[in-house]
Amino acid sequence: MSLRDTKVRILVLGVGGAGCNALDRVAMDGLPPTSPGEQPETGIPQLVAINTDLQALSNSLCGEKFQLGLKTTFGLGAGGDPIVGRKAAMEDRDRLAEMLRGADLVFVAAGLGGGTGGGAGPFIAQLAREAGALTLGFVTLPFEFEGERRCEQATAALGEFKRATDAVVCVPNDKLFEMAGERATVLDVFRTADDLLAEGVRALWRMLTKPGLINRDFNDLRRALEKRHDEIVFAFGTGEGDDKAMAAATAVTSNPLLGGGAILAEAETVLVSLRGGLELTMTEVKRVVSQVSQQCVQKPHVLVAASVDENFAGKLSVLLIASRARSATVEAALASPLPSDREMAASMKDKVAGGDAAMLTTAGKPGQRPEQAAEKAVGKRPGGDANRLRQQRLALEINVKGRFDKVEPTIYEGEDLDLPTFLRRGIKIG
Amino acid sequence: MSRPHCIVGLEIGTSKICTVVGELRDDGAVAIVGVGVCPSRGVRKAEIVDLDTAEQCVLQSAHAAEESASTDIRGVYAGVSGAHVGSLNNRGVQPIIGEHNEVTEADVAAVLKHARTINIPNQDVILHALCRRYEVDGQDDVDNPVGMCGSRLQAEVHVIHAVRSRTENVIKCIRDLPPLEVNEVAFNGYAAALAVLTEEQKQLGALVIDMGGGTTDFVICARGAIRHSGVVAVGGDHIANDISLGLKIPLSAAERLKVEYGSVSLEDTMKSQTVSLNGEISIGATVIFKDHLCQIMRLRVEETLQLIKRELDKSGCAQLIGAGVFLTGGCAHVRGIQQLAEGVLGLPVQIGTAKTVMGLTEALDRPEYATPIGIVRFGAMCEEMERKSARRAGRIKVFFNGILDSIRNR
Repeated sequence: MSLRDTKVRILVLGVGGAGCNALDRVAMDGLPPTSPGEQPETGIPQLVAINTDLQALSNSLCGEKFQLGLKTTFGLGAGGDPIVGRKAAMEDRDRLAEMLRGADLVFVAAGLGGGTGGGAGPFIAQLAREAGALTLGFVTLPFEFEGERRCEQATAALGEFKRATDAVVCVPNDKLFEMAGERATVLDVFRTADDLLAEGVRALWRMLTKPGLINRDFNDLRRALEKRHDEIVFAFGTGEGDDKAMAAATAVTSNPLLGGGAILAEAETVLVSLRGGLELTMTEVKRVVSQVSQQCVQKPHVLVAASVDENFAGKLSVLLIASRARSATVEAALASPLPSDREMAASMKDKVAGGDAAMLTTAGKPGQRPEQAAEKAVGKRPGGDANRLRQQRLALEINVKGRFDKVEPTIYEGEDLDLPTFLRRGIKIG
Repeated sequence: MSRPHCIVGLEIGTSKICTVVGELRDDGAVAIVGVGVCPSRGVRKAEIVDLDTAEQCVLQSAHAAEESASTDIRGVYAGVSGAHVGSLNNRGVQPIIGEHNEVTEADVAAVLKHARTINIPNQDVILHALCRRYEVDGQDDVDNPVGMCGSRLQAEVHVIHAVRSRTENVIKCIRDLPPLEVNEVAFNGYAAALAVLTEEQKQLGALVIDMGGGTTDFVICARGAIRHSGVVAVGGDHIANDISLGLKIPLSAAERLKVEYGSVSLEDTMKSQTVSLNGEISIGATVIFKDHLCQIMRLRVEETLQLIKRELDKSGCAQLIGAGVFLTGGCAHVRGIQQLAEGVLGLPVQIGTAKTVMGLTEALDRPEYATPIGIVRFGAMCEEMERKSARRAGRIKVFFNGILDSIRNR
């Protein structure tokens, strides 16, 4: 299937506050640059803002808006609780599925750590994949200063995202802060993230739809990214003037998101997409690609795409998508199967039925150990919600630790080394 | 300055806090001139759990060292260890874009910077980024790539990282005691390796195991560079704790038994040999069978060594250890540990003592002082580097011009 001759649906979904903001950026800068009255081309991305917060949604610049979970949240937002966010998405499951039907490429943009982005986001992404679309997540992680709980929620949500999508672009906000510099305003920092998403969507769209010197179609993209369930990295660079190829290549390879070469060094698949004016030469393409592949160590699979655009005379922009070889952690995450829909629905129902107690488990007082919170939850509500509890150590064992009773345990591959060796090995002394 | 420049290493250990004063001679050699030791309190598994108490001990140890070396201590180099210390290998790549594809010092700095940029957890801080080797256009094992021609420079580094807040606790513990100041921090295991291993042994390949009171730090060196390092938060305290729980005696008695009668070899203990503990327990004397004591100790030490063995296998360097294993730290005194370690690791084992410095022999010969002495050596390296870079700042221009001119004139 090639995008140029078939109608292909690209959906860009902004889920939650941060996701919608990113989408606004895409909408604001125009995508694609169409003038009113112009016949819409094939594969024009459809932008949809999805949020539980009605007020935030009404402020969105997006043409298409989707109010999530009206019955669950009464349009008041998820209150930072992913369970509420997920429940809201489940409520509107049918409507979402309807929207996603026939989509070929779906971007899900969300800020993790909160309720809607972190809770509803992965769910929607999964629906998109079930609808047969190549699904890419674009998520931001909260700033470190936003607190441990938010960060923990974000980490959990990122894991869900990885499983639900074909690939995830993950940008820690702290890194954006680095990119934007010390004196950057709040607006600047968030704008950096929004720009990145907008540029990524635009570049992919261009690559798939505009005629090019070297064509890459949807299947190439699919092959590069499908079912990776891992993080991928986007980076951009532009160059102008005589030596624009070198300038663009340097700009893209020095992009902070590439981690100073570390990402490229480990990359398994690299997609290099160039866009230049009509005068773009093959030599320039070759220069950029060889500069990029020089930084790669693992001899990755390099996909090259180049397109020309008469509005882009004298300039060259490079988009780089790198996906790493799978790390062990991802394999482990994949080994634990994604809960099937029914299970998920059942556990959701439990949580809803559990009401206050379920809230207590997640909300737990600050400073309170999760185990304690969990214990309380169990005490109040017999049965159900067992999957949220951590397995606990038998209280008996604590007495056996002697002087290490109150210090952080030394855990090595699941074994608590503070316990005497002879006890763990069951060797009788005397 | 009439006296040679002093470098002070301070290790806040689990069982002792040790301050070592070294003098940096003009020829670059380090001589140990003073040692101050104070039994440690407020430290568990090499991490500070009671700041006030630990500060008291640091102060005492520093005072003792000042007296011993008859000098004033200001800036110190501090050692860090604990389960939070981790390591990984990373590589950086730098394209050489210069006019003649020649590697410059700036390229080397950039490639090291790239290699340092790694995804360690947010709360972590890099203690050391030690360059393992360079590669220019696929040519392996380049020692100094500056001036070589190529289009791609690659560097492999071994990065040792630790949790920021816990590292800061160590620094705070010393800074809270003016006029003491912390110049730099070092990972204890790395310091022990610096003290013990000669250049030749590093080339041959060596494993340094620093078994202290609270943790066992290890460093694997091969082909002249550090390949793997880490911490297993198990040490002498665990041995005593096991004895106390296994024989149902108080911890203090267990500690005493460990030192006076303890051993990890089962051969030299007679089955029926007993030790009586007098006065420790209220009613009468308690009789302890020595083979029970040794069995508990052996199990613990053997297990810890097995964990190190596993790390060694993981590093893939097991075949590259030509110089053998060096045991340092207080646990190196445990009777029979050398034979036990040889059995577990399948490598020749020796007790590691500070070979790379001169000075007070009573300090140099003791394996438990290897780490603080190594920290002094680390301090000397830091200051050497600083001096070099200061000198280079003035020289660098000339250097570059020289190279460029020689090419142009061709």
